[in-house]
Amino acid sequence: MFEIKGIEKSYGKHQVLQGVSFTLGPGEIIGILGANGSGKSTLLSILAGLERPNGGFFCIDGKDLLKDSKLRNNTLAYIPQENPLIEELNAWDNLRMWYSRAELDKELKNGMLKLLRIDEFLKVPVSKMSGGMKKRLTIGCAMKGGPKLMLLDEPTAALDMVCRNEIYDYFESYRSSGGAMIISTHEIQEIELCNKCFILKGGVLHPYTYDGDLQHLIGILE
Amino acid sequence: MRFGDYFIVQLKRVLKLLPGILIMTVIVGLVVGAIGYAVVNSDSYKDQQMRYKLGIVGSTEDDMLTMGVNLLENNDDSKLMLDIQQFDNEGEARDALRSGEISAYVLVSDEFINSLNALSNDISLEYFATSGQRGITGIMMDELADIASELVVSSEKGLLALEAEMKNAGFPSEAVNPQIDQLLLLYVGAMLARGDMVEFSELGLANGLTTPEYYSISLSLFFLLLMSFCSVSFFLGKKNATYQFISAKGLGAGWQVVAEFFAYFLMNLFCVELIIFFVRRLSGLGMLTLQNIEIIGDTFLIKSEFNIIIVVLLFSALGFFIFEIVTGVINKFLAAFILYIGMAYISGYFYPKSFFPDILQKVGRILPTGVVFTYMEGLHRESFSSLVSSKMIVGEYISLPKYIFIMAGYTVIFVLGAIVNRRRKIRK
Repeated sequence: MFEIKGIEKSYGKHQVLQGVSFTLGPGEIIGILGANGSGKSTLLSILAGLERPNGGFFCIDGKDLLKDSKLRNNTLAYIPQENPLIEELNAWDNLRMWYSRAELDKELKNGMLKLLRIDEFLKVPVSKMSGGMKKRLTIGCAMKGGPKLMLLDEPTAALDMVCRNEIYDYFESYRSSGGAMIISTHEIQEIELCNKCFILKGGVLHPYTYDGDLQHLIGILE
Repeated sequence: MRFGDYFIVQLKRVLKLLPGILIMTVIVGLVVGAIGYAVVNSDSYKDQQMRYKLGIVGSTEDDMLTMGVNLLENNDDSKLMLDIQQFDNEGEARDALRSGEISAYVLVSDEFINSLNALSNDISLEYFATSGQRGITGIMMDELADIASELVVSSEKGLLALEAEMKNAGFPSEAVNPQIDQLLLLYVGAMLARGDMVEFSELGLANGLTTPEYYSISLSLFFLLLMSFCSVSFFLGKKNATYQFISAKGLGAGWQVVAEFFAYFLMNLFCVELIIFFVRRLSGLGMLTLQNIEIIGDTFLIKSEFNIIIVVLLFSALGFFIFEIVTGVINKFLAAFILYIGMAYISGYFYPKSFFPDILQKVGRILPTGVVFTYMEGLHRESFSSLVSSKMIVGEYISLPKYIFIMAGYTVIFVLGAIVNRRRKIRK
């Protein structure tokens, strides 16, 4: 069980996050909604260990992931909104940065990388990949070591419908295997995937249940 | 994620980018080499290699005057820095002076010759130089004019009187002339001991370097600086998302920068060593003459592959730092270009440092480009054996270990600066 409690973050006098708290169990997906600049990415950055919070903690089974970087690296997969792959290299070389040759052979044959269908474009340079390929490859890289929690920052932004559905299929598969996810999103389809949603407004998390009324959601976000 | 894995990925990037970078490096190398060749072989340089030219206008057929001029040209210490050129009339000399062919001229008037023959001291030589031609050239020409006047007027008149008296007393010319000549030489040697006043060494442009040596060092260093431009593709396409992604898996800003920097440094070093290798091959095949090799850097590049590693390291760190902190392709180019030109200029890569005011010389000396230049000067002086204090030939003493230490310090500062900036990018 993941526990996020009292996360605080401010930049100067600007309070971005105030006492952000929630819990997350295996197989759960939590959606964080909010207007641009509301602090969604900051929250994910803190949970991924990229930024230090001013207060609060983030635990798994009582161990603070914010302080134990080794545990954090093995437990979490952080997938940024932008493409983080190395453009000059192909899929294989990007994966080799994370996996040993033996691990890679195994994963491509019958593992998570096979599930993501990365074996179809192993020799394609990143610069020539479609958005969907890049996203699948990014997830493939981030999932090294079988992390228990994925932190996704707007994972399907700028992807077409087909690519999105491929990514969502993978999310469902991951969830069914006991993986948990925290997704920062604007997409209705992703909201519908979530077990719980929160709206981040004024630095505070507000529980939210999507009832199909998009105008109501827009009104809240504004 | 381990450091080694990330370093190998950076080396793979280098391999992908290398063909383009090599082509750019060769082009820049050829351009800088051509500039060096043009500078060292230019007329202005050849002029610098020549001695001061002093024109003489008027009749020099008089025996004593001929002897004086011969003494000036052949016996006096001034022969090392003086060329004498005879003009038939003052108009020609004036034109030559205006066009810069001569530095000054001395007018030997008929009145002066008459005065000389009459054993009178009342007429002096007239000396003409261009106005506004002060500075070292003007001062030197004043001194030369004094020498000429002293030799021709003061030193000879006494002896001339003696010669006249001896002939009046009935001594034959065959007996008198050799004795008078001998006396003249003794007089010049004893009374006008300018060898003690000035010491002639080929100082070149600065600190004991000759002009080809100076420009071979400065242009080669400028080429090493410009190599950052050739390898700018190494810095393109890099994204904060990559840094964050990798950092989230445990490889922080420090190790990221160290891995990238060493890959970048190795790439630069490879390019430099490859160029040196080809220059040596061409030299071995006789396709480059000794002079050409010297101009493009043989004097220190070929003989000091090992010694320039620290220079490539420092310039790589400088380039890495600039390209790391500046965002945007055009901004990277502009920032690097302005900084490189400015630093190279102040550090004396284009003109000798002595041309600048004291304060600028001091600034130029402590800049990374200036430190590297001084280090290369030191290397040059002691025939490229590293880590031993240089032996002073001409110019100030240069301690190579000290300069290696300073260059290493600058390298660490630039890499640390890049790490701090990377950390900021990851947290952004």
